Amino acid sequence: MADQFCPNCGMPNAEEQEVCSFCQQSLRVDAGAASIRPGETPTRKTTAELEPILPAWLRDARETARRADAETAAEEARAAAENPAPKEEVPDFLAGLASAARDDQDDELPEWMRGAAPSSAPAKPDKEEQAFPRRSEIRWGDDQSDELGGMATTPVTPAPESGDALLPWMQARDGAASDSAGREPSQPVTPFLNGAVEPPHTGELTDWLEQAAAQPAAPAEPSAPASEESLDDWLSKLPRDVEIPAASESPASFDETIDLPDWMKPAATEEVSAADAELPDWMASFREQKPFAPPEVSPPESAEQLPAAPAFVPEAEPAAETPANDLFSIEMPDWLSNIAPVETEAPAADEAAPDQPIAPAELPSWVQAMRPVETVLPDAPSAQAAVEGPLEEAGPLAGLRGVLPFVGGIVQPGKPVGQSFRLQASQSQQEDASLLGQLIAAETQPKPLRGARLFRSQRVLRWVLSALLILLASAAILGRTQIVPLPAALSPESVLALPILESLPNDAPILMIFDYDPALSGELEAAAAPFVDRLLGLRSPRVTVLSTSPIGPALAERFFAASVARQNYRPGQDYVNLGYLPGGETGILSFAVNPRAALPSRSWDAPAVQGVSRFSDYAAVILLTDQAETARAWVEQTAAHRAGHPLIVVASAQAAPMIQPYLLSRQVSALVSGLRDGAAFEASSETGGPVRKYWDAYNFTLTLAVLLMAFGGLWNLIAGARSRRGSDEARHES
Amino acid sequence: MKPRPVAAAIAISVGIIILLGYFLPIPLLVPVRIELLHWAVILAGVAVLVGVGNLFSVHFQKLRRREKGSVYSLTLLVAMLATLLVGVLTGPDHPWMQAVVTAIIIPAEASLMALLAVTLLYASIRLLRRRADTMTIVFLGSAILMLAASISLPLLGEIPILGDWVRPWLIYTPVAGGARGLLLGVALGALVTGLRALFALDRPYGGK
Amino acid sequence: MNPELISGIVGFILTLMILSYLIGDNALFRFAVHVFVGVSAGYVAVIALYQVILPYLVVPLMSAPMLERGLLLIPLILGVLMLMNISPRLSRLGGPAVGYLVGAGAAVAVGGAVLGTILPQVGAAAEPFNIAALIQRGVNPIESLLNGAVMLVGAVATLAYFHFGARRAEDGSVKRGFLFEAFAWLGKLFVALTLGALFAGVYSAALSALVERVHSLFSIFGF
Repeated sequence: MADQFCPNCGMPNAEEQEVCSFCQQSLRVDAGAASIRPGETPTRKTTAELEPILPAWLRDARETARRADAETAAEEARAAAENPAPKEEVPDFLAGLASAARDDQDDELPEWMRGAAPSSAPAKPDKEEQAFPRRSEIRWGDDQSDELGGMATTPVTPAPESGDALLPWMQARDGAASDSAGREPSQPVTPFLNGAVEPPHTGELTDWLEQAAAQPAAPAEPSAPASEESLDDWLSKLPRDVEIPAASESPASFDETIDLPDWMKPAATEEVSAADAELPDWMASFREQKPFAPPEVSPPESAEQLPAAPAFVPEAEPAAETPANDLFSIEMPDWLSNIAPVETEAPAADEAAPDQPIAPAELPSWVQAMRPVETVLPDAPSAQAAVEGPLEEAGPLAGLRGVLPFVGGIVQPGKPVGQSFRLQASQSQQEDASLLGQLIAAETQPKPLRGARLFRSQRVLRWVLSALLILLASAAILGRTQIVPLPAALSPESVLALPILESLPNDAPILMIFDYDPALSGELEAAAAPFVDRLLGLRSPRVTVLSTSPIGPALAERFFAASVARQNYRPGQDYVNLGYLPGGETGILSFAVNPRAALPSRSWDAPAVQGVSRFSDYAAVILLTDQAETARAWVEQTAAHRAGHPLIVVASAQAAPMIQPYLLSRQVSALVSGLRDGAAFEASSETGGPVRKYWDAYNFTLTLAVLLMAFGGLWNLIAGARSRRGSDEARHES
Repeated sequence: MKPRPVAAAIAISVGIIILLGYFLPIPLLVPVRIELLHWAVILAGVAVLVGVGNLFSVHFQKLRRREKGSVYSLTLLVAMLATLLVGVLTGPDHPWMQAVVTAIIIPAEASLMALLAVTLLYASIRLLRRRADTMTIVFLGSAILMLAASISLPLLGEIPILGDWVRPWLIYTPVAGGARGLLLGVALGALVTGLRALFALDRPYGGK
Repeated sequence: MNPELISGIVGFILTLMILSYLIGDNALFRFAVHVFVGVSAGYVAVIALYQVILPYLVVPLMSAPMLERGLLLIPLILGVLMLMNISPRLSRLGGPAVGYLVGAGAAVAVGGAVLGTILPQVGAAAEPFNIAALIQRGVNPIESLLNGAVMLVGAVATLAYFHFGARRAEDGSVKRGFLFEAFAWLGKLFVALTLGALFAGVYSAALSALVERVHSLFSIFGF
């Protein structure tokens, strides 16, 4: 959890920090300190207060400019008194410009422009504090107020020693860092505060700067008298008839004050050829162009001839020899006017030195002026040894050491090296972060399937059960054991079939329906065979076989084929197979309504079905089924057409419970269910049957199954209760 | 879905005529009812062919698209076509067709049923581990009781009391009561469903 | 070779292939099941062709009297329309045929449910309370009354268990009445008891099938 928040950027920082890790601002907000926050407009500072920190040359330049202004003003006043210039109205389209420039531009005119441009009006003292601070007025490193004017920057306190985040020049300021607490937060931080960085000593750039520091500022060129006194516009101040010194002349005056690099001098002779070799290509190409000759404007003969409008206004166009002169009918700044292309042998020189390193760019004076002061201070203490990092030799950072974090050398293309930095995180924050990381990592990790081990145990249990049942049945079958006695008595529901069989007339037609699936053919054949054998043996009925299942007729044939040896029932004579009756309940109803119409077949001519034209002609209906639904369909659809004749159902053990209600409602006359009733019938018939060979094996396996169900179920009941209790306790604890 | 008035009209008219025959023994209606039922039987036989044709189509598409398991579909199609060919040429009463039933259909279905003996036993053993509520315990308890009452022990025969009293009482009284309730529920459901179909509230044949 | 021996061997192999599922799902089991389904489908198609289409439609259309033939045109047309259901594009044409079957089946189901189950079963539920008839038949009336009461309660409670109509209480909860809840709880017991008996029957049947299959495996070797 962050203990304090940065007043500047709002980011959280540790309690013990004094400087924000993110924006390097001081975390100590004094009531009296006015620090600039993002979004706020900077407070204007008075540049005059900063003049002591300006370099000497700049200070001198400013002083010279001031003196020149004063002299110019005096001359203008004298000139105006002697030759009052006609007032000429500025065109409307410049009026706004004039008013705006009057308010804003004039006071912010840089020194170099101020010196070049004739100022008809004296500088406004009331805006001195709000003017663009003059370099000579800027003081770096001193205790200053917040009035820095346009040069005001966000006060930056030195960053704490937090490892790699600090730049070398920041790290070098050990003393400054420790003293940061005592310093006012409004102090701008510079690497040159305590002279930690030595002023650069590179080439001619610093040389001319040093010379400039030693030389007094040259008086500014006397600007041409302005034809317009009423406007403070710097444009209107600019004289139209000022004789812009020629390119060749301008450096002369300029050279009087500062020894400029050669490329800045308007070299008109071949003497510059040597210097051209060091020029960058863009400069060389520029020199190849038409020389930028300052326009030659002839001074006006009289003041009246001076146009008040700028030169580019057509109607006020002075009589110029060339059109170019129109554009340049204003006084150009000296740095701009001095940039005159020189016809030299530059190309040859450039081509001759392809291997020479590219000459560092020469900075103009105004860029030089923006450089940190300590760079050019001749008396800055040398603390180079304490500063790490390469020494910048070119560009605005020339002379500074360790400013850029990149170590010098050939820049390798590719990804920059990542800078590591330590977050200022408290212990609780780190714990929370690690916990979050664990949670995220856990989500992506596949959880081991709990079922793997469980699946193996399930399979083993199934194998064991299969082996036990099959081995036990095999043992009983192979051993041909007959130690399990057949049931002695018929079940109550199957007992009801006996009187029915007794009441049947001999040779009566009966309907036998084989509606069971081949899956339970073993059970049903074993259960029905003794009963059917008793029926056939007792009354020798004529049997009509029918099935609502496509496989039923085949099963019926199989059944009767097995009973041939016992009862010698002949197809066609003793029984007839009408085959498959489609439609389910609809077919049953159709057959019940009109059997012959429902099943048109040549079998109706057989002796076994003679005299049968209606459903009620059948003395009994015997249904062999393994499904309660089939029994229900036959019971529902034939109840109205049986005319009271019995319906005996031989059902599989799985259907018997659902047929019981029909038995209780006497819709079914008797029910023989499963292997048990078949065994009972077999026991009562004393003729033997298919049940005997299955009976022992069936009972052994059934006993085993019951024991396994009982004890296994009990075991799992206890184990399940234990596991559920354990999980409940674990849940409560968590 | 677009309405199908013809199908709905046929369903309603045929249904009403057949239903009236249950309650109103109108002599004129009897032959119509018989004929309608006869036509329904014919259509039911054709529906069996439609089912077989659909099965063929499904597996043929699976084979054509070379889906996973299409080799089994090929097996199925070959077996179906071979049986159809033999049956069409010889007839269903031919011994070869009988042999198909005896050698393939009966053993396969019976074996599938035999697998249940192991799986049901395994499921009943593990049932109480998963859930041990009242209904589960009563269910398993009654199953074990009924099975135990059916056992005939060596030399002893049926287990006394269990086989003589418990099982018969269970079957004829509580089980019969529950079965009756289930049967009544099924019948009531069939009644409502049938009436909804007759009133064209439910249209399994499509249409609004 | 004896056809019975061949069919026995085929049956033996098929039985082993399907029983191999007890070890685990395997290709042999799947192959056997697909052979079984294919053969069954083919056999059923042959039966439908020979025992329905030919004797019900084709033969009468060729040999029956004109009136009968004329009447048979209707199931013939409907049958052809029914066959359109095989194709998804043409299945719409099979609507009338399916509608015919639906109407006939619904009527049969309604009539059978009312006359074959609902009325007789309701009557049977009240019969144990007819003491005079019980005495006339020589049945112990008290025992019959008790059993009858249990069966009646069982039937009503089972129906109450499957009844889900309820009223919304003032607090927004949906609850059945107290009496209904009591009968529903009782019905749950009866349903569990009945399903247990059904499960016992299913397991008996499955065990019979297992014993029969094991016996058939050994019977080929003379056992």
